[in-house]
Amino acid sequence: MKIKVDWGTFILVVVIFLIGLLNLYSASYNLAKYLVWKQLLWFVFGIIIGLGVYVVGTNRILHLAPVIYIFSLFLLLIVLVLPYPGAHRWLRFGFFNFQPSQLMKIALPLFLISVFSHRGFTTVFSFVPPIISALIPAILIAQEPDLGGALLLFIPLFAFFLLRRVSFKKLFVWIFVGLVFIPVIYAQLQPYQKKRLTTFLNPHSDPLGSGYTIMQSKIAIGSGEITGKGWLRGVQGQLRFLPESHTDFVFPVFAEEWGFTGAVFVLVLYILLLWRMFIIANRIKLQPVREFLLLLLVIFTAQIVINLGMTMGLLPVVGLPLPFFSYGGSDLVTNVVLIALFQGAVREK
Amino acid sequence: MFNKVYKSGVLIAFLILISRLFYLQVVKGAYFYDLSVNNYLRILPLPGFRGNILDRYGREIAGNKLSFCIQILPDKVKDKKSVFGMLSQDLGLDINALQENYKKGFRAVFQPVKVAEDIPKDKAIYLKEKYRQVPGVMVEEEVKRIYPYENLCSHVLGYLGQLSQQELMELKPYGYRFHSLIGKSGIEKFYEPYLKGNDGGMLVKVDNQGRIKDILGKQSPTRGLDVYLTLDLDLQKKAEQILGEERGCIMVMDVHTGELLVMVSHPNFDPNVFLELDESKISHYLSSWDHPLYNRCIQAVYPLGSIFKLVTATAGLESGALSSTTRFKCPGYFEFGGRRYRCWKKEGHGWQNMGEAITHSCNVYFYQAGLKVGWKNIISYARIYGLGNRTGIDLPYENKGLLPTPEWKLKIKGEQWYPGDTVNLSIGQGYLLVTPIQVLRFIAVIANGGYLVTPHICKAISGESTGKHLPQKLSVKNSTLKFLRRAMYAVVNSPTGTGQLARLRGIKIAGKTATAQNPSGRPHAWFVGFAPYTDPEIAFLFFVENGGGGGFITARMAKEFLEYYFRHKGKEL
Repeated sequence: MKIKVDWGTFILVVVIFLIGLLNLYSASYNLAKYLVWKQLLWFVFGIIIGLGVYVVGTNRILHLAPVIYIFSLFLLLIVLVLPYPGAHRWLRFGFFNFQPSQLMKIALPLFLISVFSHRGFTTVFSFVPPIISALIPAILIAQEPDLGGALLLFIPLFAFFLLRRVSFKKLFVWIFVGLVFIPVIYAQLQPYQKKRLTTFLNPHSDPLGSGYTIMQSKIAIGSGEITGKGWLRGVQGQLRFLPESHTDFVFPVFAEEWGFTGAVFVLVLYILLLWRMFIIANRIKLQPVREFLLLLLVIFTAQIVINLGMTMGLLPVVGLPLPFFSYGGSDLVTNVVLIALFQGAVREK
Repeated sequence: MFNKVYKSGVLIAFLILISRLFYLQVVKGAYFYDLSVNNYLRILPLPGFRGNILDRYGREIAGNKLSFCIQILPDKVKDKKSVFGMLSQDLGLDINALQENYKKGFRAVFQPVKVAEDIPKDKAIYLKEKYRQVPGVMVEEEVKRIYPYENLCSHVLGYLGQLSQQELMELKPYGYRFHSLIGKSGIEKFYEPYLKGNDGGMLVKVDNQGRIKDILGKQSPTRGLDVYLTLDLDLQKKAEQILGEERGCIMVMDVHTGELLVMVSHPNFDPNVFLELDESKISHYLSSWDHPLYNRCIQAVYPLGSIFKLVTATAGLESGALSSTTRFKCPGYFEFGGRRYRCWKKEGHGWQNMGEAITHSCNVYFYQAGLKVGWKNIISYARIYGLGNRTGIDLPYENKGLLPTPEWKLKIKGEQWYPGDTVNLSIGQGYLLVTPIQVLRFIAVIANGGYLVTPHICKAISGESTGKHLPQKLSVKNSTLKFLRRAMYAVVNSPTGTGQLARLRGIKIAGKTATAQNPSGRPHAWFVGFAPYTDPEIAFLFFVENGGGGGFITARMAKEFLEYYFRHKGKEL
């Protein structure tokens, strides 16, 4: 077997992860120091699974698309019917929890590309099958309840139609239908999810919940000023003014301690990584593999942008983690596997 | 096309993000830095309070009261020793206890810690004035749950406790916070989503003394919904007084609707104790040998004894194996399989028919009847009557009990079912275990002509009736039920009946005694029944753990209670 790796991507990922780990150490300093070790362990675990993916090869995985998609749907159903109290997001295995909605982030692009690539999208109704295949998992994930995870699935769907060069008029018919259904969807939301949306529209409507979080997040980021307060010196993160400072709101901890300089540095690293992944994807000759990678790239990009926008008060608090930065096992493993799919494609080329 | 959209999308997104960072960190950096150093932002909680719990006539059994407490803001108190010294002097409390409370309550430097509570109003007003100049010490009002009758109805009400770490994680989206109280048992637990009020709060900007400078946002707290119970407070009080210091339970239920008018379990507890800072009383409740937190009506399982003979009789009559005129002889014992099974009456009851055997509560008659009917029929009718199964009452932690079968015995005990087991079963001994609420419902079935009701204790929520609980018609012949009613009438009113102590002038009572042998010492005493005999309104159950044989103690209790009940209803006795 020929071993071929894109070292640029690899190094960028490792650097971002290590900076993230350093930051996680600070974010969890007064909470639970062992989180750093757990995160490292998850990374190693992710690499083991990623190696498997790499060896099998992205093209071959593409042939398994329907199986993987159905399996992910099945897991999403399981997680809903399991009799846990509270949110139904995780399959719990005692020592670790797995979030099936993470798997769906890879399974849906896989399914879209392998099943619908050769269809023509000439009539309005030919759009229905791909829409349905995104809608079903989105509804299941929304039930967990995890609105952010559900909405995220529509981004690769939209990108898929872009790739297929569909007529925009027909696409807008469906976007319009979607908009009409917004009130229906809104009525289905949990009270706290409604609150988050209204808070985004009017930050003063929920000053105690997400309004407070956003305010504290902005204070954390802003107070870093140009050079930052220094590692482990961030007031907001260390004194736990900032909720979820090790998961969704991990970036403000970094921005507070490393300032504008550090924050922009990390943003540049992310841009470089995205750019590198974009180049790799476009170099692949095999059309389905190339398009699959592009959809993955879109979903990966969306997570980064949404998380950063949310912490800076530009987007509603939807609960999406920052890839390679936020603490969280399922998310980290999924992101490593996503990178491995890119490397697998490089190897097969 | 795609590539162009993606490239420009990413470019625009990151340009916006970087400009936003520039705005927050460079342009407004100094402003946010200032905010962060002193953290001028604070959330002042405005706690919502729970709905009241009231009896069927709207009398309050659980409510709320205003009380005053002292809170400390850790990051504003410079010299903790002198502050605690001052508090200890002003409040007349031990300085170590205050420090202990502080240590236990501390969560984060910006979260207020409660160190003393239940400060009298006059003192609170005086201290509020005095501490105005002391940074970090606050006199705060809080709304507290109060149970004015203390131990009365404690098992029905349940108690409140702080969220566990696990509960907090799961319930956070529903507005629970770190110190939130949540129903841990009883009505407080079962109707938690209705009773709970929503906490509000104010986001305020404070100065370095902790004084409010600006209100940035406010969310008003809300009050939970009131829950109306089916209980009648007067009857409940009387029943608690009658049960006295005995371990056991008393229940009274409307035979047609399943509404519980009385539900008493003893030993009981004072739910107010769980709201105090002092934890020694709570640990006493948790560790006491007689389990005061246990609602014996629904959580405890006991052998049933002679009341079960009514099931054996039903099985005989319904299957056709026996008729009401079937006669067996009782010489005081019954020899079977090389063993001698005794009747409670040494000299024996002689020849009897089924009605007489119930009236005398003769064991030997039912040993023979049970063998003739067979375990299968007996168990099947016990199941129809709802024994060994949850009744679905609206209280948490209801127990199931146990109806033994040969499969069960083989699986659990690893032994086969012997005919001797059937002999024991037919008089309600052996492996059979029931909860008192099941037994009460079973008696109601006999009284109301064959309808299995769902016992319940919540009548309405915030004025809205909680809906009809439709009873289920059982496939038991009317003639059988009529026969059982007549036999139970004779138990109390015949000169040879075992329940004569419950006889009441003016009102016809029907009942059945039971003496349940058990491994924990003296037998348990049961007395169940219904009244009035001709047109039954209520089914009742009196039970005393280790109360002794013959059901005397419980029959006496029943008489005292029923006398009160019918007087209370305005009947001349």
